[in-house]
Amino acid sequence: MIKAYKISKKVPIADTELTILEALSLTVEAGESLAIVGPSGSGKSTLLGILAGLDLPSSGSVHIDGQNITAMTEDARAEMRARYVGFVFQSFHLLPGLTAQENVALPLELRSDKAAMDTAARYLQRVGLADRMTHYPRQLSGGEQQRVAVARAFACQPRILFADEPTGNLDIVTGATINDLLFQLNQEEGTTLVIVTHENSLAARCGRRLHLQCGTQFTPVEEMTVKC
Amino acid sequence: MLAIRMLLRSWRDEEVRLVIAALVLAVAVVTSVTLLADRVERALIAESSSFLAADLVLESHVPIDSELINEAQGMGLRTATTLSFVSMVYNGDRMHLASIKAVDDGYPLRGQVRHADRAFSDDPAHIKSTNAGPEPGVAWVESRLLPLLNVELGNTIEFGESRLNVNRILIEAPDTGTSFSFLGARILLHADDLPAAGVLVPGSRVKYRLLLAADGKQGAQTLAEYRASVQSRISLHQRWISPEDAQQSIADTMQKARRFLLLSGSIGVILASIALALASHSFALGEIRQVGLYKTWGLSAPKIRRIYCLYALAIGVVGSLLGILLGAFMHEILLFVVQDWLPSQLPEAGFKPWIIGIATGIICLAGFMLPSIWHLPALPAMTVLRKDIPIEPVSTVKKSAIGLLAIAGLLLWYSENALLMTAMLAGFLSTALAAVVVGYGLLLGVRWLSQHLTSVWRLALANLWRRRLQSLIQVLGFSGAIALLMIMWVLKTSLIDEWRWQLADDAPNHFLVNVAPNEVVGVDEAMAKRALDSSGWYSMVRGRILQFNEVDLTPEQRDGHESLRREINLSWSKELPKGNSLMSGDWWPALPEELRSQNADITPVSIEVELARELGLVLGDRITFSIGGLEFEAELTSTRQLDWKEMRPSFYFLFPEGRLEKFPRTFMTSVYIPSADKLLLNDLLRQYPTLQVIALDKVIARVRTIITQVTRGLEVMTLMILACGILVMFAAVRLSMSERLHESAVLRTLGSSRGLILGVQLIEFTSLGMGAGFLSALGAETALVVIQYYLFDLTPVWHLWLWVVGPLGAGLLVGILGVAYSRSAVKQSPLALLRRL
Repeated sequence: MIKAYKISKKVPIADTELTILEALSLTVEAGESLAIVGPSGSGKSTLLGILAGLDLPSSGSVHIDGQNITAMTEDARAEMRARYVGFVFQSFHLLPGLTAQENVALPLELRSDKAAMDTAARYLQRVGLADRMTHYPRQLSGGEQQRVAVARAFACQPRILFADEPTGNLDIVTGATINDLLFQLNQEEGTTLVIVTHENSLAARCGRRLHLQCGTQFTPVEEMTVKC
Repeated sequence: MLAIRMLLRSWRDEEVRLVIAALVLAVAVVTSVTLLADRVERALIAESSSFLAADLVLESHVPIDSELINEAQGMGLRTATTLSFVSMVYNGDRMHLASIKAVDDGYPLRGQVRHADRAFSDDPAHIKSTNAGPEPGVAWVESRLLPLLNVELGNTIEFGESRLNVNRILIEAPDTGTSFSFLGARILLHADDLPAAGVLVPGSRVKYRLLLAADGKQGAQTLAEYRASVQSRISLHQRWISPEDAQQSIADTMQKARRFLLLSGSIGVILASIALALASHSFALGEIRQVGLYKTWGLSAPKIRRIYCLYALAIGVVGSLLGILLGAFMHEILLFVVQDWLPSQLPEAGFKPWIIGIATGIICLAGFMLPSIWHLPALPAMTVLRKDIPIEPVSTVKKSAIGLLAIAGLLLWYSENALLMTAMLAGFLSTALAAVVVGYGLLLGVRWLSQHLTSVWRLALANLWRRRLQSLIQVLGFSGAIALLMIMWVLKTSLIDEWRWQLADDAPNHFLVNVAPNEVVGVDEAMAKRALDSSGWYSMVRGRILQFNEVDLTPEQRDGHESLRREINLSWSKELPKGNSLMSGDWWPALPEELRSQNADITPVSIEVELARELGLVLGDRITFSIGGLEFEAELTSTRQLDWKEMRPSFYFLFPEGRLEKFPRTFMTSVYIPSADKLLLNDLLRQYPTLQVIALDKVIARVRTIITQVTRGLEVMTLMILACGILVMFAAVRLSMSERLHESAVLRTLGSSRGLILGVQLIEFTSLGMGAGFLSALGAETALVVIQYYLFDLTPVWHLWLWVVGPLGAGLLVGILGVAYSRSAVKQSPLALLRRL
């Protein structure tokens, strides 16, 4: 489903360049769930952005469903994201002025989906928030907000779901509920799941776990020996 | 549809509400101002047309060619002709040199003739207004003619070879104007009576007028076309008079009022635009994450741009529509407030105010909101994952240039006056520039101060420096708003002060002149009987100037100034008269003995300061006067400024007592005569036929009505501008609010008290406000000099209070506003705040 080949990311800093990622290669199969773990600053989020086509690598290529997204124009990548990709963020990124239902419906409306509000209601029901649809984010707890975000991500029926520290802002119990939800929907919808996380419990539930070392090297978590 | 749904949903966002509020206010201010200006202007123009009794007049000293009249009628214009001249009228052995106006059937084309069936009466029951003049064979005469000729209504008077029946009292003819005549009583009669009377012979001094009026939408154009087509046939003895120059003082007032209305409108728009720009900036900051989300959902940059453009358009349309509704409502309120002072039926407004309103909304949006959100579609998608992604908004320089261009275009469009636009922009820019330069200097000072102060002060002042870019933007916004309010206030007060004298209720409204010395006691007694107070008697002698410094005046000098061509009034006074102030030199007692002595060859004289300047006279110059053939020499010993507004007799030339008494003299005074006591004039004129009365009461009443209408309206308008100013404050405070909330949450989790946080906010905002107040005083003063001097012909003065009230008022206002706004930062728990942000 996703193939990354020798991707590097360098950013200019003052007179020099900072290497965030270097020559990383990776394959994610369709329907697979992958956890990327690693210390802060190891380049996890940058990697996630590049895999999802939000950012371009300095070199190397990323293929999604056989298409080289690194060779695409920005508009073509946007089109590809619309067809394949969903996101769940650490800080939820709900719009404060919109109700739960409107938040979930918004990306569907942007695709001119006439049934956006109905679909939103259905997915909110699936994440257990049928009675909170007209509530605004500030009236919801952190866990509830993340459930809205999960509903929003799945409502678009993406083939790949990228999650950036989805439980990073939540306590353990609430986090576990969100994890359950992610994996339940993942199985029901057959979505490919790529998760960046600190949480061992979350990583443990993924089919595969990779540890990112200083942006240069992957190590399967079970064989973790290299220290940065 | 999506854009409208977005707008409906985002209505809950404070930034969007601010953007819309700014837009609504900008449009509302402009709409209400232009609606009012349009309608009042239409009313004033109609009124000044009635001053002329026409829309356009051709005045001539020779009979007007009938071809010109036929051509006008051929073009669909209505016409009438009048002839004005002076002629003797008689009743037995009584005679009077009267001012005659002979009119035809078409007269008046505009306005009405007011006439009464009783002499010296102001009682409406006796007064009638009609759209026609007298019929052939009758004369409508001014009240004072009755005692002069010793006739009653219904009697006949002799007019040349014919007799006319005096059947009505002429109160007011629409084209009388305010140029009251020293000459005879006015008589209105029909032009058909002229041939029989035989009073006009070749060579008679007659003023012929062709009155023209055009109705309907194309009227003004038809008039202009007619004027252009006959222009080449107009001789040197003929001239055009339009409503605007027909009544110069009314025209001046109209022009000042119109400019003021436009100025207030523009100030409102500039203020609202500042608020719009600030709110749009906050809005754009809040949209960064949203754009990131759009991108993750697969929206391309062009599609995102389309969404925001449609969204902005939706805001523009909704804001403009709400704005013109509010504007129409505000203008109704304005009309309601001043309804007693306006003509009972104001003409309906044209469509221009509505178009100006909507266009203002769209232009403000394009000039101030679009540049702020233009960069949004180009934001990198990674902003959703990382906060440290650099963002490149449209540069402040570009944004300012676009905004300035929008404002300049609007100002030019409103005022059709490049000078007004330039002055406003100069004030605006000088404030902006000074705000950046001086503001930066102030911030440097603040940084230095913060290193030498204790906790709260240090924290607050260090914040100002740390957020120096934001601080500068805020100072810019505040000072712009405050400076414009200051300009507005000063102009309003100085304009109104200038007009106020006309509003004094008991200002003398009649001048009695040409009173013989032996009549003074009698006139005084007649006034005392009715408990009327005159402003005192002033003697005057008519004289002529022959020489300056013993050199005869040249013909060029005589042509150059009115006072050198004719006899002038000379008077004397022991004391410096009331309403006079000495500008240079000394009053009589301080003069050297050789000048003071009654036997000296040379007498001292005091001259009005403007006249001295115009004649090129300085202290010590000698002037030779001739009075009734007797010459004497005077030395200029002082100059005086006169307050003509006191409505009391004032003289250009004043001498000490004892020098002019030997010449034949008459007396004059001014007096307030209430309408109930107007019969006094009847008694006086019967008893003293040579006495002349100049009645100013009608003139004063008319001027007062118009001025009161205008000023009352302006006061309400100032309130609207103030609302715009407050909006700027809100938008400016809002700009840094999320950062402030975040900081206060962090400080509180670290154990700071609410008092400390509020103290920090108070010091920060108050300092910002004071800096902005100082800067706005600077900018306002600069702009005021330009505006007062060049536009309103007022002498620019230093406004010390601006420099005191500006910083203190702004400090207080911004301080209170800022603290009130940030109270939510200490009311909520730090955790709730942190989570919210």
